[in-house]
Amino acid sequence: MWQVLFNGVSAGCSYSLVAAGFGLIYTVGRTFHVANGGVYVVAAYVAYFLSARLGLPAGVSAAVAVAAGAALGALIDVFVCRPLRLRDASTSVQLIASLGVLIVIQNLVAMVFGDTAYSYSAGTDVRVWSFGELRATPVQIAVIATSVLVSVITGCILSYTRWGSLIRAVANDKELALILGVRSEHVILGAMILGSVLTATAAVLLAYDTVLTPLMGFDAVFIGVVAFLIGGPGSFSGAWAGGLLIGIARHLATWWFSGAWQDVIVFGVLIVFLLIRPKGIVSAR
Amino acid sequence: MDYLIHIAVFCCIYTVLAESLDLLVGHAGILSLVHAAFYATGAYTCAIIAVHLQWPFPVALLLGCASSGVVAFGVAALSIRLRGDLFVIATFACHVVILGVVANWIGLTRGPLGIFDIPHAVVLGCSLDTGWQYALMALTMALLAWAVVQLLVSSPFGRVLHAVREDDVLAMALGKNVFYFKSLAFIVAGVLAAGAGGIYAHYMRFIDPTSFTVMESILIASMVIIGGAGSRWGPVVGAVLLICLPEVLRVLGLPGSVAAHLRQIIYGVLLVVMMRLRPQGLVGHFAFGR
Repeated sequence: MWQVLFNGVSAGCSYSLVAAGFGLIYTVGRTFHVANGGVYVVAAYVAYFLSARLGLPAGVSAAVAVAAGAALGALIDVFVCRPLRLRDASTSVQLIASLGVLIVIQNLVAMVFGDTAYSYSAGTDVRVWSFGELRATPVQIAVIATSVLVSVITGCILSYTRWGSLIRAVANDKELALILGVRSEHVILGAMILGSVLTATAAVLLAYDTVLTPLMGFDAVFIGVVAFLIGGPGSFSGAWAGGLLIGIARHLATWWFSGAWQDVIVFGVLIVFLLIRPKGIVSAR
Repeated sequence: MDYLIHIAVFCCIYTVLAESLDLLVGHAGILSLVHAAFYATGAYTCAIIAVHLQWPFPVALLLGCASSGVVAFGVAALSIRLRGDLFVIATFACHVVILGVVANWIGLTRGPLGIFDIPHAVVLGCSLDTGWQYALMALTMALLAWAVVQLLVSSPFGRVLHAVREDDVLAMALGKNVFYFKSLAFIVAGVLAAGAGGIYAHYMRFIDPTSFTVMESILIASMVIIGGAGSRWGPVVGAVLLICLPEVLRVLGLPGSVAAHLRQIIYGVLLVVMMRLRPQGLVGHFAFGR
């Protein structure tokens, strides 16, 4: 039981990162940016390719993968999202364009790397640390530690730096920020990159933990979206609450029923939340 | 020739799906990603009745439409009050849940194994066992769906839907029960989509959950949007285009796995390009979701 909960928390940490990255982009850019799943899958494959095929150290390949994810996020914003924003396209139009980007990236990855699932675990050591009854792999510990660390750093950036306050200003009122001379397009681009970094970090962490398939981006982004909506749109702590809840729910569902019901449980929980508490667990406003 | 007929059948089936979804996307202005679940409900109901009960095809088809209508009512009751992106995600969630039930209710649907050896449909005492006959039936269904949607849209009901699309708060202020009209459109769309599912099940003689994934919902929505949401011929154009375009890849002789991905890439690129350059679709006039 405790073991299941622990595994759930470990998975939940990476969901939280995806949810936080998605939430950042959503609150600042007002885009339902599912193309983040493309960033996710590209970062995971870059990390895998660099460390498993080219033999680079895990740290270096992780850093390169996150950078690649950030660059891809910036490209998507400049070439797809920004023109739509400038034209004042509706959220549905932006959502569909974003979905198109996700489909394209995912299938490009599938064409380049093939449909087969890759597993990285062959490269990492399979030591297991025991804490009483609890057993944890080094990867799980690393996932939790890195997620917390990255979240804290992002939180500090948002709260204490000038750039962070610009991001919060645009998220609060884009027009007013524009009037006060904030170049909102640059700020949104910055938020997009920061969100992509969070997503890519989660992807790299998961790449070391489980198997890679081209479709993982689709699953990841929608779990992130669910965690974000359940947790409470617009707050960092909400993303964490949602991510952990979903992580634990998925693992408990596997334990009680079978893996096949995981997605049903996750999206069932979402429907329940949309019905009875649409503001999420941690409601910001 | 058989190949051409096969494509024609699929064009007709997807015309039904796209036309019925257009009632929601184009005319009521709500983007739904649950449509393939209604398609699946129709297909599975018909298949299960045909295999286990051997009831006549028209009865099975009607029951399939009815059960899909009930499912659509459930989905509408859950999601219709949500707005914008939240509605889209709620329909997406409903799709995942419905498909999860279909894929895991092994006793009824045989789960991932799928239902095979579905008997040929018998219509008016004549067993349909050639592609031609199915093409005729699918064409009839497509015409029927097209006519139903056009009739509804030009009726007072359709005018209310258009009002809801343009400004639902205003429509509400004029005393129209917006949720009632949206739900009704949802149910009609679900019933029509189930008709396509019934034909698909009997034509393919084999169904499994992989034919009704979320990607299928997205594909149907792409047809509507690329063709032109809310226009008379847009969904038909979109369905025929997106069915025929990938066949060109087959002619080029690419290996199957590459062609499958290339097809998806084409859909994705088309979506992005259309959103940037022509949000009203190829033959449409109403800029989708302003």
